[in-house]
Amino acid sequence: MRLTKPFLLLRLGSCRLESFSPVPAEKLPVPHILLTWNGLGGMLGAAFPMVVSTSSIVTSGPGASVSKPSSLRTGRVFDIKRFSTHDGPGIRSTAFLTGCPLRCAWCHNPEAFVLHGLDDGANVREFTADGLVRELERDLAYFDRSGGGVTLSGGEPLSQAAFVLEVLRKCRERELHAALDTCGLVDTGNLASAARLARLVLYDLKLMDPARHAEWTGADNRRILDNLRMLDESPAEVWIRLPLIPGANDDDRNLDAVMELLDGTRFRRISILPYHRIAAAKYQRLGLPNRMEGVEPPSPDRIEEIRARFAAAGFDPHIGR
Amino acid sequence: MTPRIQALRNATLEAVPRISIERARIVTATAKSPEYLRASVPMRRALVFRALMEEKSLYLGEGELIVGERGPAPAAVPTYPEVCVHTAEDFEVLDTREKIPYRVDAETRRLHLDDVRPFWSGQSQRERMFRELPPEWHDAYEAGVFTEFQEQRGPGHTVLGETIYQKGMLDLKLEIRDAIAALDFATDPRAYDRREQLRAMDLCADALIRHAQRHAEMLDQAAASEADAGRAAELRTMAAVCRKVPANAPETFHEALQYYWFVHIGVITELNPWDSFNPGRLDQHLWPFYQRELERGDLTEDGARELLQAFWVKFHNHPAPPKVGVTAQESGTYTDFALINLGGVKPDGSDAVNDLTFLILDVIEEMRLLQPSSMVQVSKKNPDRLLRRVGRIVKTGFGQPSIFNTDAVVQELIRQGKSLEDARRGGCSGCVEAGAFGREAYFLSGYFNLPKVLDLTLHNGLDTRTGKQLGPQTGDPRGFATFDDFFAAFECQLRYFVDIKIRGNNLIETMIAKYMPAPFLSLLIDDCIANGRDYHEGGARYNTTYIQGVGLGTVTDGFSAILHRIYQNQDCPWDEMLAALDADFAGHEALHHKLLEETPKYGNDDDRADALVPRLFEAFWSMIDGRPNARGGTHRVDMLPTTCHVYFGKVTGALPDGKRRGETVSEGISPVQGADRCGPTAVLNSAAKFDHIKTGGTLLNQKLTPQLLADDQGLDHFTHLVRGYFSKDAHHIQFNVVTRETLLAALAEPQKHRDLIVRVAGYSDYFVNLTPELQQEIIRRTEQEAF
Repeated sequence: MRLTKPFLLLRLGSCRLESFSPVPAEKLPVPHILLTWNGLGGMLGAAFPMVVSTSSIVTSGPGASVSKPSSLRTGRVFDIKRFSTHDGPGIRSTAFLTGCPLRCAWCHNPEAFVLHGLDDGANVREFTADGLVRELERDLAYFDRSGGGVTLSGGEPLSQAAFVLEVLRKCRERELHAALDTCGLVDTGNLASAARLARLVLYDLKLMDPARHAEWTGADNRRILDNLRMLDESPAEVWIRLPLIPGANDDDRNLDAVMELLDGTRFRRISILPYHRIAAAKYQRLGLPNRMEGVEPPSPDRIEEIRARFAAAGFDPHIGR
Repeated sequence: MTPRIQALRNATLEAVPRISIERARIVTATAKSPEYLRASVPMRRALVFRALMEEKSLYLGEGELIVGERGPAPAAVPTYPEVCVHTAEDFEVLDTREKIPYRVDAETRRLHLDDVRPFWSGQSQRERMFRELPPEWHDAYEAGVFTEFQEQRGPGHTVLGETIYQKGMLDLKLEIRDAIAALDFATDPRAYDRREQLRAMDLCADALIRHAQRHAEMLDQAAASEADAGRAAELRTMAAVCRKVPANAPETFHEALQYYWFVHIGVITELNPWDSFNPGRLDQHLWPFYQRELERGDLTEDGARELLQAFWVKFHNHPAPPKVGVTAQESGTYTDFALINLGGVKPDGSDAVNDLTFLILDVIEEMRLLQPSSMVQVSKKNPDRLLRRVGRIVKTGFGQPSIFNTDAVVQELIRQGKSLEDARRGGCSGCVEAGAFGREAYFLSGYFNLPKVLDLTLHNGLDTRTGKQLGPQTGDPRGFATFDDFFAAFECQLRYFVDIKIRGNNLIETMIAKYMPAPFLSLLIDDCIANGRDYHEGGARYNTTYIQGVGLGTVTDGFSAILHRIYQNQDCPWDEMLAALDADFAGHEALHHKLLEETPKYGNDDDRADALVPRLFEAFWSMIDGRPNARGGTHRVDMLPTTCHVYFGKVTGALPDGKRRGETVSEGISPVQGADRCGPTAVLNSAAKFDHIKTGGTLLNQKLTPQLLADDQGLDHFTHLVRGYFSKDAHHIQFNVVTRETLLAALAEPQKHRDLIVRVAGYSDYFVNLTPELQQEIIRRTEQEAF
């Protein structure tokens, strides 16, 4: 139920990425991000102050490992949603991983903004890859009957790339259908590896115009579009996800551009995720300014109209939640 | 829905439940007759039955297609003074109570007090039982450790098999004649008892034929004075049906339904068995008639639909016999638990779903009535479209049909010693209770309050509500060095009360067999005729006595709190816990919060709590399963509450899971209301962690938002959820599909929500008719949403 994906959070002022990341900085697509960040750092920096904390890690929950120094072999998860039915086929368990290179104004999981999670008492738990797969696998009986499986979402799961690749590898070994839900603003090599291991990639597209993309998400979309082309040339199964945000990306110009782009790819299945206001309380709790204050969710008529346009253009549109 | 059915449906919905004195007067007059006084006990019961069938007034509703009422009119409910003779206060309570009232007019009251009560006072089954039961039984019963089903009603779970669709009463009379002829007084010391029983059955068969004959005469008269030629012809057809059945085996769909209905009326007039009576596998029984007539062109789908709908109205015309006292609390509803079974497998194990299954599902959806209750058996052999059809009805939000796992039920029955074929012909009745339909007398004997036993263990056997030393002194908990020591004390208390219950059951069953045989019912259940024994005396092929465990979620969470807080984390010493329980957590808010919010709870697929479930279940089960009852059968365990968890909560003190004094305990095998927070799959996984196959039924409630079932994909998920749960050998699941907002609105403005139907336990009820506690509980049950 996230409308959006990601954002790798970059860095602000003197705070250095490697000082809090469980993933070594050299593994992150830092140069790219820094580049896009510089242009609009001011506004977003103010909107999303970085909070780094490890005090909220829960160590007593089922499946949680004892708190210990982060390593390549562990990842941080701020939520697990079981009986998740909109993150790929069938009944699924979705793990939401911390960390994101984007700062979408409408983000529904702002707690993902930092690798360590915000200090709001959120249940950030640290897992080994094995531990996470075991936890996600508890609903195997329902996956098996529904053609479901597990989905790695976030945040941007590939902001914990080494961990995510290991989890995907374990899913392969255990014949578990795994989907990767990505914002696309990730290292191309990591994405290519993940796409080979995952059975399905859920790929977010938001805005086609690079400047508007940067304005609304904190980063331009060049790498996202490059990565989409890379996936198009790979054999990966990809479902496109389009958050539909009134006033941000629901204009005809953007929707036409999305269709034009996708027309040039083999991707036909598209999930339209209409904006909703469930996250407003989170912003309040986290003390974050909410740029979407006062924005109304799109009307059912408008959603249907857009769905019909995609259908008429030869796509396979679905309305998500 | 045709105008006729619409009118019948409106009439039954508007009928006001009231007490009819007719039955009590006939029974009392018969019991004073010389013929009765010189007869054997079975013959006495048969004479009563004959008098009822011959004398009670008949009813013909406008436009009715199926005839026969228990009372003089729809919703007129008789009393059963030979079982339980009401006091003047009982009638006052029934007449004036806010929930589930039964109107009692002045004339009824006068006749009851002048004529009925003086004769039966001291002679009723209830009084006979209570005189004989030992003091420790009374103490435990009054304290609310367990309830007793047979104190106001006859033993229940009387589900019909195939017999009546193959044999008329005249055929059964021939079998009786042969059985009497085969009796040998030279070698059989029970020959006299058998002959009296068989003669009583024979008299009952004649009485039912006579009852149908009277209906035929009434219908002919009505036809003669009917102005509408179409209706007159219909009435003559109905009269012909009543002359054909129940004397002879039915040959048409209409005859089969009317035959069943006469039998139903017979059973619920003879006595007031729990779970009224039940046709069981209706789609299987009716299928040959339906198929044959449809092929011949004698019946259309619409014609069959209308007959079924008329049949549905007949069930709804019959509110449960009035209950008073504890029994009203454990089962406060007009619903009388006739549970129509659909789907499942045939005796050869193949898929039993047919076109009629779906037609009956249409009827259930369209009629939208509380009674009869309905369920669908789902085997791995049944197609998904069956479950999807069920999902489409469930999402309309009236709690029906409930869903059962045939493959588990068959295993349960086989484990209990039923033959493979008998198991496959079976199903579930009442709320969730497994049985070999047409062949088994399975009595529910009472609910068992597991949280109360934990309460008593915490207080060294003392009932803090009354200050009475109720159980054995198993020790002050502060003296238990380990969790296992505490658990052993709990087991000791549990065994003490289970033993009291089982001894009581065997005494009660013996007395029922001796004083209250049911010769009419015995006609219908294999192998009562062949054995020359009554249904109540072990005459059926299988004889089971169930004790129903209540509060599994509450007791599990209570033990989880003791394990984690006192013994593992050691952050709450016994002193603090006991002080908090004594104070009902007043002044111990921090501990209460920790117990509610930070202690592992059943229902979250969290093994730290869930590991206790099989341990608790096994302790309870091993003390009951396989122990002999008084009918040559055995005791078994069910896990279901009806509405008893509210009553049990009231009589149980504060518990370590955070339950406050008097708060409702968990129902069925569902988690404590609101304790499950990880979604439906986690609940199902938790609930499947003990072995349902060892039970005769478990009950799991799930509340879903309408959005979850909004579209085709939602139906897919619903189907897979149920299939996933059943793949773990789970027994049953039922759904409430209604939003919290709707329930709150109904609470605020009940008059605007009279038609809101919700799933309560093993049945549905009008939300506004529920007690305030039950209303709150249903609101608190966790609502699962899709994401």
